[in-house]
Amino acid sequence: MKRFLIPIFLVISLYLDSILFHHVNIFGTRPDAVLAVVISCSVLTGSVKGGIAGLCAGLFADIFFGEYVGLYALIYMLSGMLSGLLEGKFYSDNIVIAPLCALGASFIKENIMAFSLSLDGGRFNYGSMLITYILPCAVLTGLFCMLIHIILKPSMSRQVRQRVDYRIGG
Amino acid sequence: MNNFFKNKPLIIMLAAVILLVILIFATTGDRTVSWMESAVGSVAQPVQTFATNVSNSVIGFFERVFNVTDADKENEQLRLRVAQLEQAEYELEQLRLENERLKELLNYSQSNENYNYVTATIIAKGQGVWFDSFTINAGRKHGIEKNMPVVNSFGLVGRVTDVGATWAKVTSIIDSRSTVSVMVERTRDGAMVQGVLENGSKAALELYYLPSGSDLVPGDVIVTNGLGGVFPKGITIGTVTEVTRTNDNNADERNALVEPTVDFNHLEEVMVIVSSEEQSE
Repeated sequence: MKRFLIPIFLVISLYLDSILFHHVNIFGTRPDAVLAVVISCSVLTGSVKGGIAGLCAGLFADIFFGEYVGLYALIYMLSGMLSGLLEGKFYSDNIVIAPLCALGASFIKENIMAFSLSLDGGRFNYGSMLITYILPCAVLTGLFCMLIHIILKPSMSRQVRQRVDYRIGG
Repeated sequence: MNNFFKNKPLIIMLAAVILLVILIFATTGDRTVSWMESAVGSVAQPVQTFATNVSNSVIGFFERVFNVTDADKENEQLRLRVAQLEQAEYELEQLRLENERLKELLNYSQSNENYNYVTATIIAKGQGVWFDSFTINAGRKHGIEKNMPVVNSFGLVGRVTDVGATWAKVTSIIDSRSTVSVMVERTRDGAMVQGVLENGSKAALELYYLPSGSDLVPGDVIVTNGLGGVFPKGITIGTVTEVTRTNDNNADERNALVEPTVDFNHLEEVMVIVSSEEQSE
């Protein structure tokens, strides 16, 4: 069952992003659920699993509701791989590191989306969007990641413990 | 350098990044959906449709439950029963509303008999606010093609930008990249509207390139003028809410703000104009 935990969380997060958060949001501001799940998984399981999770979820998002195939995949995969570098460097019950990574990744992701929109001819006021959308979204994604991390941590901790034991045992 | 070639994860990551960047640039321009995208989308489409329906029911249930919080808290069972009955009533209300919406679409299609329509339900929307696009549960199998106009009973919604076998992506007219050639219904002056990206505020369009000295007043109705070959002539877009400029100075400045007649926040069903009588003949 535990091996399906990450795919199940990714499917739920894709559903949240594409359907539920369009109905339930705070003045148009919503967390990026996929990014939160990818980063939480990466911090718990490492760069490889995190990168693969990000790549798969990103490709699906690109095909089904993205504008350019590969953009979400690239952002989520890199977020997963880079935040996975922190795996094993902090205690697994630390619930601050993953949300901080999610906050930073969300900020960078929204700026990349804004940049790609401006390259494609979209017009908007960046200053206004930074205050009313980008920063609140980053904070919400960080908070959502904290929630996901608290839920995922106990289920993943056995896997984490096994790997640590294996390393110590040599 | 030798260490670099020994680091397999790094090489795989770099290869993946290069491939994805190539993919992004390859899919940026005008293109058709590949068989792989079409297949993945077709597999996901029934799941998304199911998830959308479940989501609407769950949201409705909680809305009703929270609406009965004033009920006597000691009478827990009665409250639950009331909530259940209200849920049933809510479902009936939803069916009635859906029926009304579909009737409106039918009336629209009957009053515009020059066109043939395919009715579709919205099953997913893009993540975030940057791109205003959504996915519908009808595609190539239903006769939908790229660039076909999408409407509802209130007016123009957008155009089809990608088509799979059983799904299609629609970019709405309020997307900040969308431009539509329009005219003022009363004066027949030609202009262009473009979407505006502003988070949290009501959807709006900006009107540009109106002829100098045009007699534009708030309340004027804006309709498509048929130029460009994508949108047929005479489809309602919105009404002017604020006139900001009617002279030739600062041609890059908008002439007016237009409020779309379509409520994009509560859009559930749409119609794709698949052909017109003129095209059929």
